[in-house]
Amino acid sequence: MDNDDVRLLQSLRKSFPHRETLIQLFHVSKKYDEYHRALVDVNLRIEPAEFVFLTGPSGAGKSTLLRLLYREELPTDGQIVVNGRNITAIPESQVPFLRRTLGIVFQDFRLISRMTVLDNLLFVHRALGDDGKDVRRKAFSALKQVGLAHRTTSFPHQLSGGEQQRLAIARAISGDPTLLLADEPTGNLDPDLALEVMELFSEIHARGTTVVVATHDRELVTRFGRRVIHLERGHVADTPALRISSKPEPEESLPPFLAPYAGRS
Amino acid sequence: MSGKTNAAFLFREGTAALHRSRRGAALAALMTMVTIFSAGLFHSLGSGLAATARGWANESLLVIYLSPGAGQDTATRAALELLRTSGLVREIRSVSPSDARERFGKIYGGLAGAADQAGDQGFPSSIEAAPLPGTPETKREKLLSDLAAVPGVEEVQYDLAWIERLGRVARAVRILGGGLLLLLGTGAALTASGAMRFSLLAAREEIRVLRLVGATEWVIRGPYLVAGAIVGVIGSTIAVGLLFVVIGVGGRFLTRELPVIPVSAFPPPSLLEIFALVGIGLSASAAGSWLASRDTEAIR
Repeated sequence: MDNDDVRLLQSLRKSFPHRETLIQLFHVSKKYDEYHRALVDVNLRIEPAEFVFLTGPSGAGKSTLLRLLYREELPTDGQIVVNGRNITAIPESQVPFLRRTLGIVFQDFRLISRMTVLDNLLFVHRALGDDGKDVRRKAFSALKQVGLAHRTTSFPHQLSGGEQQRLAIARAISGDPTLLLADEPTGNLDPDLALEVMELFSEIHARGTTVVVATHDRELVTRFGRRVIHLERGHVADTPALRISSKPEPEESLPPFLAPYAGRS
Repeated sequence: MSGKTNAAFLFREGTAALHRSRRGAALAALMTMVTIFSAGLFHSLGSGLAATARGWANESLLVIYLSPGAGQDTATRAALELLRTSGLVREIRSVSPSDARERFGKIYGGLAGAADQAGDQGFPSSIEAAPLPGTPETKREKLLSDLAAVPGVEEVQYDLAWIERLGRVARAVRILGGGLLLLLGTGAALTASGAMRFSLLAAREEIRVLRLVGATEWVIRGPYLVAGAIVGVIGSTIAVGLLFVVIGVGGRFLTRELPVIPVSAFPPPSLLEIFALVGIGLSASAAGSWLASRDTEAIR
């Protein structure tokens, strides 16, 4: 953490003395070209240990928002603070270290097809330089949490869709992330399996992990009754019908400490 | 993060990368082998020729052949006088026809019978002188023309000119070897690059996952560098082994068939040269692989 980050963190704490906000977006916009604006002046705040549904129709900007959170992309305008770090200002070389604090799950699972269930997890840990014995313990623990401890020697193609997604979730949580991001995690699953996966997210959330799930499945959102951030054409929309336990989105203005970053992308 | 674990990961994934592109890796190793073998052979030949030229230059003699007949003694005296007063030679000796025939018989054993049949007529009397090293060419040329002008001197031979030519050939062989190394080395690097590009395309799933979970660029690209280095070491080690065989067997054969060629004309690579050759092979292949690993940036 460099001096800028320390100052940023200190200013954040002064600005929000009673909250340790996990994610903050300040006037974030993302424009791919002149005619395609994925996000428009988005302000939002997600607290630690929250479970948030990011909803909206296809093309509303849900995936873009998640990609910005794990720094796959940079916003055209605005600032994003995750875990006290302005991730729009960190250098490219620091992005891997940001991602190690996150767990990411996708609709297409992104598993390694030629590796067994256990190897899919061990591979990740070994790549990140974890110690031998510790690696197996963490991997087994994660597989146990998702109910796949009995399928360690199976290959992904031998698993059902739900099991594949649970394996992807096991990989995401095996590094003990503070934040779990899921982009349409039930998109490829039938309703029963989707429910199963969503219950798994609830369990993970119950252990204290912040979970952000992007989905367009209204039924699931209604059933689980969590905070909802609804996006419409790149804007955060007010949707009382879906807002079951939502907190009002404050009108965010760029705090003075972020002034130097204004307009940086 | 444990450095030891990371090194183990890089090595394991490096060998996996090789396995994924077995044929390409074998071709890259072959190309590296050809490169290092050619460069090593040319270097060795160049060194051998240069060493031979140096050796022959030290042993080269100025030979004055005398016409047979009554004036031979006079010619001998005049030539000896010229040689002594020139101050350009360090040793002078007279060779009689029988000495020359005997020497011929020793060198060319198979032709000794023919020499005996020819008798002394085939081997004129001569004077041999060993020139001092570093004699200026102008002084040397003047002495040669003065000696040739002495009545009774049939021919004056001095083989330094073609020894110098041999030295130039040695330099040309080395330069050619260097050029070949550059050309084939580039080819080897490109072949390794192609093999690794194929391998990393086959590992898109792994690369995508690594990027997702926060692996650094070094961890993502490192295995391909390791794979390239392994290919380079294998190719160049085989090449060095082959060099020893070819230089050893070929050198023995040539020196046996042509005794005039000394054993020093075929020097095997020294330890330093072995390290240099393996290092060059490793570097070329690893550089090509590292270049290819830049393609991982496009996999997300």
